[in-house]
Amino acid sequence: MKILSPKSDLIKNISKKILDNYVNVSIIDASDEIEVQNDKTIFISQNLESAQVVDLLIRKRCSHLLQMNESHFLEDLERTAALLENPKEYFSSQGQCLLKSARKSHMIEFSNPSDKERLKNECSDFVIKAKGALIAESLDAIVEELYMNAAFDAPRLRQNEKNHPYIDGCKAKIVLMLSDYHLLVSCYDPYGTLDMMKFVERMNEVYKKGAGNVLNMKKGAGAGIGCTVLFEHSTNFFLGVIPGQATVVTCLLRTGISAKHRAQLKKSLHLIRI
Amino acid sequence: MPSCEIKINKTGTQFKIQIIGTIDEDTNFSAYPLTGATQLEINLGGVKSINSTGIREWVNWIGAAGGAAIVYTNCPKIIIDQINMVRGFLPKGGKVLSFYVPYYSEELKSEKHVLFTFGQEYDQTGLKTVPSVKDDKGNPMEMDVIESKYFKFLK
Repeated sequence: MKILSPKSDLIKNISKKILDNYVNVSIIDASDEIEVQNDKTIFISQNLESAQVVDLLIRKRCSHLLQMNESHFLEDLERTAALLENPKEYFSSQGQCLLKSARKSHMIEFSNPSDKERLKNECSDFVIKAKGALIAESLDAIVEELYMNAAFDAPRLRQNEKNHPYIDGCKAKIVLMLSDYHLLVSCYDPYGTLDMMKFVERMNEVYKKGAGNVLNMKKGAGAGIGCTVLFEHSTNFFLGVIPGQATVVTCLLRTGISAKHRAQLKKSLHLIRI
Repeated sequence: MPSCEIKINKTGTQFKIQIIGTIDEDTNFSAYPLTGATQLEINLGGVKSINSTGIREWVNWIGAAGGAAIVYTNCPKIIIDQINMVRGFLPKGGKVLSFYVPYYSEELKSEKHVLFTFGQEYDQTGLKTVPSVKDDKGNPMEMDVIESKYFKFLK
């Protein structure tokens, strides 16, 4: 990795073994004012709250903001670097490449509102043995929003076009994976209509103005706060789009810890493009 | 297909409402108008989940209650999270008479949800007495919330 902030205390302690890999990836301390041209750059921070993560991602025009927590940082760093070196794998695996240490996984297909109850029941059954507090509640909240995005928002954005994947028999998918320390929830839809910058800017608006003040009250459209619900329930949050082809949204949560501890972990945000 | 059951019991202008299930895009609050109510008591103990569309529908519905005196009871954590996050989820002047607080045991990795009641564990000034909770093996459990955030609505 190319180190763009050689004096950074955050980066100094990263092992040489990791830094010697991923030669096409750069790493920079997010507090550094150097202008970065290379879009294969990981910005590192450690004490940012959710709203600050989103704000900084927009201001710095970066795609990967990774925060250090007391454990799993090196694993997070390698995961992010691997994503930058091979973003196609994120889409071809529908997010599964993010948790190679998973010991259990499950995939559920869906394409219309009548699938929702089955989808939620299968998710609930999957997570029943996951250790840690309030995992089921977080999973439920995440699945609700991922389902809404894939089942309603994605198709609505292509309503004037002839090609409708769900009508043509394609399905959206939710993937669940469990490792010793993480739960991964990933949703793929075959529309590829998500505008990632609009999504992030909407998150920024919700955080700056308050959810109650920016609720979209128009019937037939989303309420516009699901983006922050997803982020708040995640430790690491990934958005990836191949326009017109695929959207993959992934939430990675720490398990085996209290809900309070999980809420105190600093969040990371990643935008994946090919 | 609605995944939420709404039961209303009216005594004059006093409405007692119970919500059970998931509040989401299929929840039709318009079938339960609140016009005419001067007192609303809403029992949320049966709410399993609420999505962002459900939050919007709720804010619309409860906002139409006008000047009614509104109280929520038996609020699960997912409802308290919305009260804290979404202005209008609990209308101005509304009160929470009881709500659940999650506790966690590091030893057993188990959870309990403890009901806090107005006048006992808290009052209009904030938390009063925090109950001591033990897991099934007698180990002390800790409140599993960031207190400054979870109890924000009490202020």
